[in-house]
Amino acid sequence: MASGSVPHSISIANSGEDLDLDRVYREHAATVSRWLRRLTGKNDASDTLQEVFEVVQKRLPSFRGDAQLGTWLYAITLRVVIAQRRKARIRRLLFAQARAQFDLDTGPAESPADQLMRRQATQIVYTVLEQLRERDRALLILFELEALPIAEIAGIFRLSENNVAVSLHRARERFRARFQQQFPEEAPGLNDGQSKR
Amino acid sequence: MAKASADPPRRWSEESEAGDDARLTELFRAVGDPEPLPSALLARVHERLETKRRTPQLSRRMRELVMAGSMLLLGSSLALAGWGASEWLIGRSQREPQPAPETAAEKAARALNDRHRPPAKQPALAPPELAQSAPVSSSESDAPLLPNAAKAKATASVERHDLLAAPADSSRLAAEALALERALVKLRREHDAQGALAVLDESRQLFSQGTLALEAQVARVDALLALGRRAEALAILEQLPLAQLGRGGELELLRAELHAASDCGRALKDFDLLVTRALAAPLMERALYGRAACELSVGDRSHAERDLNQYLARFPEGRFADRVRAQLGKASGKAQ
Repeated sequence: MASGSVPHSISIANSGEDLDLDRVYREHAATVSRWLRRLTGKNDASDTLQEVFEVVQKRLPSFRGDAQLGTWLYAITLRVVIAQRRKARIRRLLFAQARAQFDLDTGPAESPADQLMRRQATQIVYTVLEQLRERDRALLILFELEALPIAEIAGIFRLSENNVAVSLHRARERFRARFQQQFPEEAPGLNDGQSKR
Repeated sequence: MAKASADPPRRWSEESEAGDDARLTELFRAVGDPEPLPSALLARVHERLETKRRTPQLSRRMRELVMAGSMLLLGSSLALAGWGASEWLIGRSQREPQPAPETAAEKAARALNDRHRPPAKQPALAPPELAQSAPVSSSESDAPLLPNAAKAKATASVERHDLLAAPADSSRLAAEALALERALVKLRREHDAQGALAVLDESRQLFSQGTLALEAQVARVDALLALGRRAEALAILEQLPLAQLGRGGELELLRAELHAASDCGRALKDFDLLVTRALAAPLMERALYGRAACELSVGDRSHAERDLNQYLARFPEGRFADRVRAQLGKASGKAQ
């Protein structure tokens, strides 16, 4: 499940090197496409990937290496995804489109039973995430699914680590509440969010 | 709510399976890691980026400049019109009896006000149908675009705000959505297709490359159909990426039905694809009937009969059931 921190997945040196779009794309497009799948809960990410790299192209000249390149790329990816989700929400409102289905392709070695279980879990988790505010949704994906360290998340959101920890606690409570509300049969013994923790 | 701690929480996936959130632990562990996009797709995106990068920067800049210029011009004319209107009102209240000659600004203000005043109710339009056989209906009859709650909300918000009087701090997207809502309310609620088109034209000038440009085009198609301007509706549908727009095949069906009026060969290609899809019943009914009508018109009687029989079997009380029975009766009479 957990996939490690951004610096581990992107090892390029930040400053003092001649970064151009081709190089950034060659070295990071696959990773960014995986993030996109993670952030959207859907397999089809090629259009969004293009949009992300269009932003990268525009902003690359002003990238000074203050942050890790990975963190910088992740922040751009997150902003593009959030903008697209807002647009999609308006479309759903205007055109009464059906709710999105979520699925993520994983390794081919999975057994059919594992695949079914993973699909169900993905559907449930992303359906609940969908009902949260964008910031809660993104925080939970980065922390719970991507397993990024708090410091890294703080870098992406430009917040203090304390602030991120507090926001995470609240986002988790809201997730729990929504989960209990939406899938009561799945959460019979779940605590009510005022846990011992 | 309990006061949230500043200590980072433990991830659900790392908690014990017997913990308080055991089901969440199980779920988050099961979600799995997504794979990156396949390399062929990555290469295709790279190619698209390259193509876009090679587009001359100058022309893009020029387009942006022209757009900014037109926005500025439009903004200043609206401001002038607003100023003229307020001056006129003040002047009128001060010297009530003598009607002053109308200035250009006053004319503009009046035109603007007229444009936003709800027009006199139009006579109800007959549901658009193809001249010969296959029916074309706007989405209003089969699948309303806005759900009732959203419709009510949209109407309420449109009553409160005007397109050009959106709050100053609202984003461009919000203003664009408001304009589209206004057009849809005109079309669906006020049954004023002409008014909806006017709002869409205005919105197109303000948001020519807008985020909701595709949606606005779909609304335009519905308005044109309500006015019976089918050729224009078809021309727009031909340009749209219909599969991306949802509405469960309805737009493709509409395109096929519009083609059926002049080019049944072309329409049949769409109908053939549509009947193999899992369409909603009202759409499937139209697709089957449309295909049968086209098959009859190109002289393919055996396939037409098969489709007409299939139609009756699935929709014995359907919209076109009487016509289908009559057609089948005619066919069996000929056979005898």
